[in-house]
Amino acid sequence: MARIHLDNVWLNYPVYNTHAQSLRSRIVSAATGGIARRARARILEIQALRGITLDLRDGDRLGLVGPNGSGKSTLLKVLAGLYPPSSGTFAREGRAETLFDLSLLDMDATGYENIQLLIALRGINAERRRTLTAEVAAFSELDNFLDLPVRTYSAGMLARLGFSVATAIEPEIFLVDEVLGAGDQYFLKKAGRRIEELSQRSRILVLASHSMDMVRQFCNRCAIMRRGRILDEGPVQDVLSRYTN
Amino acid sequence: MRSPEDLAELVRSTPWRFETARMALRGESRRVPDVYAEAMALLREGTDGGREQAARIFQAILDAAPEFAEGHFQLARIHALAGALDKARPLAANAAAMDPDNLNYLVLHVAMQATANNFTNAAGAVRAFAHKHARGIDRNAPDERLVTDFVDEYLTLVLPDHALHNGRLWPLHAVIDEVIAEWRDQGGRPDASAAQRLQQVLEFHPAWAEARFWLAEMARRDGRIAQAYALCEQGERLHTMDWPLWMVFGALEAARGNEPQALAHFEEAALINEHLPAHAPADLTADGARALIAWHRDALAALPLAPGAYSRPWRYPELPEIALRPRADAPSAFQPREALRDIVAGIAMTSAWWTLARNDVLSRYRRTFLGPWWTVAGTGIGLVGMALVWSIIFRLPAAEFFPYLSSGYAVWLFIAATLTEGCQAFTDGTAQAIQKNMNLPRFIHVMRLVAKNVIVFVHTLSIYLAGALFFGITVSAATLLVVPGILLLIANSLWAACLFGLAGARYRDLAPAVGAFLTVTFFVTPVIWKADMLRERAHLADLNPFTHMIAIVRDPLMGLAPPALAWQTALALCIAGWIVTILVYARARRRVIYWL
Repeated sequence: MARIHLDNVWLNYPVYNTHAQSLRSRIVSAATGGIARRARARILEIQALRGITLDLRDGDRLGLVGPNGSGKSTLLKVLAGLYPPSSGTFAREGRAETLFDLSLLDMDATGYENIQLLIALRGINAERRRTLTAEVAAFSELDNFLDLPVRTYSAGMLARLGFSVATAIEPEIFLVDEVLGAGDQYFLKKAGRRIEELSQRSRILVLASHSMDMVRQFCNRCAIMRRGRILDEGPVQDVLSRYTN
Repeated sequence: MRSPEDLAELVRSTPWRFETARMALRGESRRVPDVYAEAMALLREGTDGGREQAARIFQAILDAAPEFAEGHFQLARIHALAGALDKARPLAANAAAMDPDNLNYLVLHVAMQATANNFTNAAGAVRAFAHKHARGIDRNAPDERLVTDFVDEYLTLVLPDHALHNGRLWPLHAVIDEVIAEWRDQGGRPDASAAQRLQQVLEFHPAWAEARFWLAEMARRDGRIAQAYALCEQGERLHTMDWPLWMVFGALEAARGNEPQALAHFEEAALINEHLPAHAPADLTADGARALIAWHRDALAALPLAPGAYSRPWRYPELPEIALRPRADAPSAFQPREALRDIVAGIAMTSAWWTLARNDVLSRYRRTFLGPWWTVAGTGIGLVGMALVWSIIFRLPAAEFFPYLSSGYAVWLFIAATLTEGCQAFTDGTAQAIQKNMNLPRFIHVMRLVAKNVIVFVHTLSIYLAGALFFGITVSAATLLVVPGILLLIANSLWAACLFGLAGARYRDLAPAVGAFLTVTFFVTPVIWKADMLRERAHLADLNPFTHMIAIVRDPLMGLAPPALAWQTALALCIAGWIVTILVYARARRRVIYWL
């Protein structure tokens, strides 16, 4: 049983410029008896999410659609538990797995080493790690490339590797941000089948994408986001037809 | 017919223009396109003078080549823009007759006919066109409506920013001005012709924010709420909202008693216009919300009903003090229990931090033959050299000095690396990537860093071991004390790495500051010299906590029991350090992600 529940979630994101972040500004502020307190006011706060209310249950595959900076990625990071909401309630049941960016990969290590590293990060013990590594390697179909350093991979191959690891230990909640787009058609189909499988076993998928096609392909619900708000949410066909008009 | 003045004007202009005009006059119509391009360039200048000159050239073209339909059309357009509709009408009719399939010609022709109330003729032309091209035109509509709808929809093709109204062509803003005047003079009759006309035009220009605003605002002021509401809703649906319309929308919702929706709309307005007060609805107290709604109502009321008022800067009323309430369920910033849980869970995730630490050591020496032993080789050679020189300077036997130096130096390297790298425990590339992608206990980054430095420490310690074997070192019961010594050193390095990591993430100056500070500290800490060399001032070295941190590991390795003061200092430091670190961690743990 997986569930995500957000009730009026706001997220203020402080942006530190070099001034606000330096120790000197703090010391100067203290030394001048607060005359230089403006340093504090310089910390810009961005309202990244503004009153998000969302309820996702087993079998929901939600597509997040919206222009750049509309809060899609931030919302995903809240769902992943990475960003604590500034206010509002956020509750999640079920283990979440993310596929956000591929910065986790060690570019100089080989594909195998990366798989092992990524699996170890998920707190899997040594025996299970071995069988899992084999599974991931088989699913990714990268074969001999797995013995090469990851820096030699193409963007599509990186996406394959990331996706294979992220879905290896079946997540109850799967959060995906854009990366999948780099995979080729064949792998997209395969990924689609696995997502299909996951969601049939009552799991939740949240996918942020610019591509309406991907949302149509993978999702059954869709939320339109703009400036940190959900404008419209509902069954994918209804929402997309309203939105594209 | 051409007047002599016109010709003289053409001759006075550039020779090229004279030449093309002369050619056109002589009837060399193959050059007509060149002359045409020249005339269009003049038209695009958008000035009255440019239009006049273009008109003369088109007239010349038509004199020379009367079958040139585009010439008729362009000349008609110029006359229509200048308000000379009587001159424009026959020319437009010519163009439409010459090329009945051209939509542009037809629109202008039909519009011109409509200005003369010749709806029957115009409607006939539209029907003929619709019969052939079927552009979703309702051919069964009554003549007058057929014509006005057709013109409303397509007039922008030939005369942008114009509308047909009361038998005249109007610039769009002029229609608004007339609506405003009508509303003011007649007390806002909903059936006032100008307002109705504007509403009709809006159907074909839905993105025309100013017209939508005036219609909605006038309807609101008149109490025609349903109409005002419909205009706003349509604007929202079509994503053509500008901030003044959001204000109207908000005021309408407020009047309905739907306060949260009103506040949300005002916020939308404030997001577009930064001069408006921006408050998140959730932040407002009931009083604050009321004050904000009243403010917006006043701001709208302060807008004078005058042409152009929309685009002039608005005069806003004084903003009252609006008290904000603290976010109701904002989580407490201080979470000691969660912090402790994070630390325990972080330590428990051995596979994660151990693999990371191992990878750190390996990746530094990837594709090298010696691997981590390169550090050992480098440090070892340095230590042998130092031991040779310093043992002579200090007049100490190398057998005693080399183990002392190599063990102390290994501990020092560990401490220094933990502190300098500790500043980047959370901000280093891999740590950032993990924190931005996975929800893991944050303490694993501290564990990873300390584990990595322990691995390096064990390697550097092998230099000491080699020396100890070579020179033969006294082994006693006190040697066993090395185990608690190292454990205490690690316990201290954990809190230090965590505290420096948090501080280093927030204040980026810390890392270089620590680096500079440690260089000095190295020389005032007994690593390459012995505390008793200070003779009667030996106690000065005891003031340095690093002295004791090194002693609890080095002394057992030399077969000596460390002094009680060393144990006490290290233990006290450990307890105090952990308390401070947990207090800081309880507050900062959740915020670190924003500091990256």
